[in-house]
Amino acid sequence: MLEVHDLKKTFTTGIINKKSVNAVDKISFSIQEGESFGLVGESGCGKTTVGRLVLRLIEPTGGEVLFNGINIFLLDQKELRKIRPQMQIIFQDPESSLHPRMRIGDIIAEPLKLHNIVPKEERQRMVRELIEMVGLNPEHANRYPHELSGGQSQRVMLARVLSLSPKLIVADEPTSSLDVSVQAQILSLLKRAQSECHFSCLFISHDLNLIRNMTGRMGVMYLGRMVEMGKTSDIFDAAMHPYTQALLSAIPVADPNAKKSRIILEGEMPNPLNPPKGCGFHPRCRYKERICETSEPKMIDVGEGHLVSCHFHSRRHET
Amino acid sequence: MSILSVEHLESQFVTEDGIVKAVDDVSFDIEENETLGLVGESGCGKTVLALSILRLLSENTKTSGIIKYRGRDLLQLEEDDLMAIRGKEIAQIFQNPLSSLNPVLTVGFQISEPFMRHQGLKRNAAKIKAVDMLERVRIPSPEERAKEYPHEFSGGMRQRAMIAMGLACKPSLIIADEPTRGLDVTIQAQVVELIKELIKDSGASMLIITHDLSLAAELCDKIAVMYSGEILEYAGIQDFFRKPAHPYSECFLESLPARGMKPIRGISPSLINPPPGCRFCPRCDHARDECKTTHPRLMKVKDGQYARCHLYA
Amino acid sequence: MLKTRNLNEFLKNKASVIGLIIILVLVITAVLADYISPYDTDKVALKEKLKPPSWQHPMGTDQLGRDVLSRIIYGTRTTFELSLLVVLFTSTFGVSIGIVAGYYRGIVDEILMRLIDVLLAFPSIILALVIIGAIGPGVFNTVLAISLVGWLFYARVARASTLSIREKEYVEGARAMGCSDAYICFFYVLPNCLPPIIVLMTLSLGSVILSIASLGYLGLGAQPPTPEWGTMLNDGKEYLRDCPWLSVFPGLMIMISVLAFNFIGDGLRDAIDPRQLVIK
Repeated sequence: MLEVHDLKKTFTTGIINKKSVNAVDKISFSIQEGESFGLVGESGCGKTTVGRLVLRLIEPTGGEVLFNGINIFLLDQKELRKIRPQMQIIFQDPESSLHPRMRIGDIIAEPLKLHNIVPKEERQRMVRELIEMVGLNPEHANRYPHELSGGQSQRVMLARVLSLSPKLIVADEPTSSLDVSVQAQILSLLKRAQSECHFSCLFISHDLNLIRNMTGRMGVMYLGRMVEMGKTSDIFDAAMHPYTQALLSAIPVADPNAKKSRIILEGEMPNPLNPPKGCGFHPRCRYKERICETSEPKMIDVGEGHLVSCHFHSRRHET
Repeated sequence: MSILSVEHLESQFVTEDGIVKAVDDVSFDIEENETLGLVGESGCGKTVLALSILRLLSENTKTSGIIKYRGRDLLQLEEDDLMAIRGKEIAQIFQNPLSSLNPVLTVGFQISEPFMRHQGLKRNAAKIKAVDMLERVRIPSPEERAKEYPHEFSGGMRQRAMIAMGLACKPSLIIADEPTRGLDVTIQAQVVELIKELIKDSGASMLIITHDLSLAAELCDKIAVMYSGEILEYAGIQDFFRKPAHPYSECFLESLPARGMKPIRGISPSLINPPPGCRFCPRCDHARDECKTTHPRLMKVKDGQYARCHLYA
Repeated sequence: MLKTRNLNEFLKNKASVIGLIIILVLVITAVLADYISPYDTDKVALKEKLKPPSWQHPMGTDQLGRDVLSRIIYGTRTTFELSLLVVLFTSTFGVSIGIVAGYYRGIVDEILMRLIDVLLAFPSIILALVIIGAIGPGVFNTVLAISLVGWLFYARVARASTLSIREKEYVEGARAMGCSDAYICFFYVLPNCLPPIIVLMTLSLGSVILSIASLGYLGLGAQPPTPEWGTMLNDGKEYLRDCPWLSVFPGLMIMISVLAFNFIGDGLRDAIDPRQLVIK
C-alpha cells in the first residue's frame, strides 16, 4: 500500500557559507494494508522528517513515495489535495495540534465539511459517533482545546483524523507528552480503532517498549539512515546492528533486580552538519574496524525480511 | 536521625477556580545514604513538593508543616540560614536544563558559582574546581567545554553540567526533579550510570522525583507513590515491584508498556475540591462503600510498607 | 478570545477604565452631536466674535463669532469618523499583506519586507505631506494619505504572528487535511493573529488622531468650514496671546482622546497577553 524508495531530504542553512544536513538519506521501506510499521530512533535521526515526507508535508530532495502505486511527489497541488484525506497524521503535542479557537465539535466536523463526506444533515450524527468512538463525552463537543487534558486532546485528534476514513495514519510520537496511564488508554484506543477501521499505521517513536507493543514490523534509524529493519519480534529477539543492540539494552526496565549488563554507548550523537565518513555509527561502535571509517555499509537481507546495514552483520555479536 | 524528615507537609495556592491543595498532608523520611523515589503522574503535586523543601515556591503559595533537615526545621529558618544550606548541604537538580541554566553565562562560570559562594574560593580557584567537576561527570575536554555556553551543549551534556553544579559542594542531600526527562534512551542510560556512581562515591542521600517507574527501580531504595497531592503507598523498592500494596500502584505498574500496557479507566481528579473518601476510589476495581465516604489513613501493610487504603485496615 | 478573565484583568486597570469612559463619552458626543450642540457650527455672527468663555458660550467664540463648544462637539464627530476609517483601511490592508508575506515567504516576502523597510525609514508625517502635496488637501485625501503610511505596522505585526503560527501543528494538520492555502490563511492564521492586531488598532487610533490633527493644523486636512480640532488649532494660533481659549480647548481635546486611547491600548495589551501563572 505504501512504498518508500530511496527517500532523501537535505536541509541547507546559510547563504554565504552553505552547509547541508542529510536529514533523511536513502530510506526505503514498505507498509502493507492494515499493517503497523514502527520507525525508531533517537532525536536527530530523521524519523520525524520521514513521517512528514511520506505525507508530502515537506518537499523531498530525492526518492519516491508510492501510495497505492501513485508517486505522490509527481502529483500537482490539486491532485495531491484530492488524495490527502487518505493519508493523515497525528502529532505529538496535543496542545498545539488543535486549532485553539475552534470548538471540539467543529474541529471534528471540519474535514467532513471540507470533503463533503456526508450530507449536512448527517454531519452532527457522525460527529457524535466519532466522539463516542474515541471515548469522549458528547458534551465535550462544545469545549475548546485548552479546556481539555492532553489525553482528551489526542482523542479529539484521532476522531478528526478518523472522520476521513484514511488508509494510512502517521502517528508521530502520539503519546510522548502524556502520562503513562493515559498513554496506555490512548494506545489501546488506537489499536481498537485500527482493527475497526482497517488503516495502516506508520508509528514513529523513540520508546522501544511502545514499538514492541504496537507494531509488527519496524525500522531503526540513525543519523538519517536506516540501520536495521524487519519483524519487530525478530529484532527484539536477535538484533544484528550494534546500535540496535545498544538501544535495546538501554531500555529502562521496571524491575530492581533486572540484570544490569548494559551496553553503554560512548559519546554522543555526532553533529549532523559534520557526519562521520563511512558508516555513520563507527565513532561509537564497539566493533569498529578500518573499513567502517571509509565505506558506507549496504543494506543486506539476512533472512526472512530482516535487513541490516553493517559490514560485520554475519558476525554473531555478543549481547 | 534521618537526614530529611517531612511531617504533615501541606502546600496550597489560590487560583481563580479555587484553592489547589498540591501537597496534602505528606510525611516521609530519608535516611543517610538512602535514595527515595517520589513517583507519580503529572499534576499529582510531586514537583511542588520538591520545590517546597527548599522554599523555592512563589509567593502566592502557602506551605505548612515541618521539614527537618538534620533536625532543623527548614520552614522556620531565616532566609540567610536557608541560603547557607541551599546549594551546599541540599542541592537541587531541576528538570529541563536548557531553561534551568543561565543562557548568558558560561557553563564553567555557573559551576564555579557554588564554590565561590559556599566555600569562599576566589574566581580562579573556583574555575579549577569547576573543570574538575566537569571531568567527574565525564564531559570530554572539560577545559574547553567550561568556556562554552549552555546552548552549545547537547541535552545529555547539559544534564551532566547540572549534576556537576549540584554535586559541587558535596551536599548531603540531593533533590533531583526528573533528571532524565527528554533525554534519548542511550543518553539516559549514561546519565543513570553516572548518577549511580556519584551517589555511591559521595554517600549522599537523594530524593528523586519522577514519573518513570523504571528510573526509580534502578536508583531508589524506597519509593513513595503520590496521587492527587497525597502519598498512597510507601514501600521498599523490592516490596513495591514484587507485590505493590495499593490498587493504584498495581494499576500504575500494569499500565507500563513492558507489563501489558493495561489502561487505568477514568481520569485523575482535580486538586481543587477533592472527593471526600479515597481519591482513587472512582477508578479502583476494589472499591467498597466506605471508600466513597471515609478518607483512608496510611495503614501498615507490613514492616516498611504502608498503603493509604481501606483494604489494610 | 476575550474571555471573562481577560475582561476582568482589563477592568482592574484603573487607567484603562478611565480611558474607556472618556472614549465612550466622546463617542456618544459624536453620535448625538446634532442634539447636544447648543449652536450651529456654521453660524457666523461677527458681532459675537472673539468673546471669552461665558455662560452663553462656555468655550467662547472664534474669530467668526461661531460657538467654540459646538465646533468642538462636531469636531469630535469629524475626528472619530476619520480615524475609524483610517484604522479600518490600514488594518485590513496591512494585515492581508503581512499574512501573505509571512505565509508564503520566499521572494514575495523579501520584496514586501524591503518595501516596508524603505517606507518605514521615512517619518510618517513627511510621507503624508508628500502625498497630500501630490493629491491636494481635503478630508478624503487626509484619510488616504495617512492610510498609505499607516498600514506598515500592521503588516509587520501580522507577518510576525503568521511566521510562528504557520509552524504550529494544527496548521500542518490542516494542510494534511487538504485545505487550500487561502482557507488556512483566513480561518487558521488570521484568527490567531488577531490579539496583537487589536491592541495595535487601539493604540494607533491615538496616533491617527494626532496625525489628522497635525495635518489639520498645517491647513492640509479638513478644509473650512468643517470643524476639526487641528484646523481649529491652526485658526487659533494667531490669537494665542489675547484669546487663548481658541487654542486651549481643541488642544485639550486632542490630548485627552489620544491619552484615553493609549490607556485603553495598554490595558488591552496587558489583559490579552498570556500572563497566567500555573504551578504544575
